Amino acid sequence: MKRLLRDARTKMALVTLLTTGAVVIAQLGALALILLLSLVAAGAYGASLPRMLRRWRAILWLLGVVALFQIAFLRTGRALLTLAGVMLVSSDGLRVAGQVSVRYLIIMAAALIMSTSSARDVTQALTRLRLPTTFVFMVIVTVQFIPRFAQLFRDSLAAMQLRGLDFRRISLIKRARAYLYLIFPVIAAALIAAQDLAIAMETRGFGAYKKRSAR
Amino acid sequence: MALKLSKVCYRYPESAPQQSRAGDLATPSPFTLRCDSLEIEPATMVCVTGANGSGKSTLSRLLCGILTPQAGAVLIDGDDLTGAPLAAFGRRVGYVFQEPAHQLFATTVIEELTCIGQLTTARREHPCLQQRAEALLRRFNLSDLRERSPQRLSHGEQQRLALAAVLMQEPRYLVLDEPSSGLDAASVEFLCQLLNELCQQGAGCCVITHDPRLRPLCGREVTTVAGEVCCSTPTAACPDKARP
Ligand SMILES: Nc1ncnc2c1ncn2[C@@H]1O[C@H](COP(=O)(O)OP(=O)(O)OP(=O)(O)O)[C@@H](O)[C@H]1O
Ligand SMILES: [Mg+2]
Repeated sequence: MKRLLRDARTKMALVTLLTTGAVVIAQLGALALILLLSLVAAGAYGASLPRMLRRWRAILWLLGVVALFQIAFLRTGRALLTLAGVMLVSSDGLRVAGQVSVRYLIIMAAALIMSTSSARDVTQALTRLRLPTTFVFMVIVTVQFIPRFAQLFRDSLAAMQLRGLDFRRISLIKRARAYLYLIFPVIAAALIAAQDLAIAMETRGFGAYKKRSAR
Repeated sequence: MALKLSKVCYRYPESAPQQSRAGDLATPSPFTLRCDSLEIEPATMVCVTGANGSGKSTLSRLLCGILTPQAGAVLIDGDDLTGAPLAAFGRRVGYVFQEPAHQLFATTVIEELTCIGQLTTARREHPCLQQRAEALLRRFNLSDLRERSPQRLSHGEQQRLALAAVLMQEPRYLVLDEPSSGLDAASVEFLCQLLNELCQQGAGCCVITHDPRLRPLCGREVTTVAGEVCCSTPTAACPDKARP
């Protein structure tokens, strides 16, 4: 039983279930419940939550900024806060911001669950499920690239601070602008890496044969 | 007055807990760097050499505060900055990453130089920032590229831009991680000249390099061997030290 629970395939099924729920379900309460479940599962699999929180602090910040934007620009529904006749916070804005944030948090918790299995276990599990090689490869590549992008993100963040930016000493708006700067190199690097990888794979003959021997 | 590591020990954290199965290799213990004493005085140039994976970049990340040692202290001009926020380090130490693309995040070259200053200073100081940026662009031969995206520059151009961006702060100490990798002869020549100038203006430089063209500039050479920061010898006294 314990082995079955620890099998990478079980985790994958669980993660699929949780993330599908996160995307399909819209009620905030249900989403919060799923998030709680995901976090409990991640904890049960031995992932260290405090460490992840520290590492993902910047991303959490970014989530907060996105949520603020949604609250600021969605003006439909009931008015919850008005200033001199101008609607500042609407019920719809608050709901959508909450939905989006909780969804991202669930996806992050799902990644946390998967991170307790090694890349090799995941590959084997996927291959045993008889999924197409191309799909398995796509998953592996994504999984392998995440640490690289995380490093890039952390380096950019460090570089910014080393150039004299103290996040605690600037206004919220400037802080938001600083975090928006950080997304840029990651996206650029992802695009460049994807291009390079596609070329490298083709030169090594990936996809030249319909069937592979290692099945 | 120096950038100083004293009795420092840094150990990378264990990797995430993995399920162990029969047949799996035991995970090796994480890399550990030890440095009893390293001093980089103003107006001197220290060069760090060592094999791949021996801990040069780790050492440089300790010097600029990205990594915090578990034991020992990082002192800058007598102040203990161990565990201080990165911005406190950044005011005194400039760091150029081994991978220059990792420290470029603006949308244009000129913005790369001014963006942090614009976030940290009042609006009335912005014209002054702009002037400094223009001067650096001219000094680094980047004026023609000012509207280009930093992500789309060549490696050598990125390296120059990264260094220029770091110099916007006018740091007292500079830590450069393999600044000459991938540069052509003319660019290395330019880099040498620049480092010499900075050194003469009083900056303390720590240069990580394998490049024989940079090593003659350095007054002192430090070697890392499997995580031990070893000999700290004047290169003039033993020029053949640490050559394979
Ligand atoms: N984030 C990390 N977590 C765990 N181990 C790491 C991490 N970064 C580096 N290491 C390990 O620390 C050791 C030293 O790495 P470091 O980057 O300091 O080497 P280096 O001397 O700069 O090598 P190179 O000449 O290739 O740049 C390597 O064995 C590396 O695998
Ligand atoms: Mg290195």
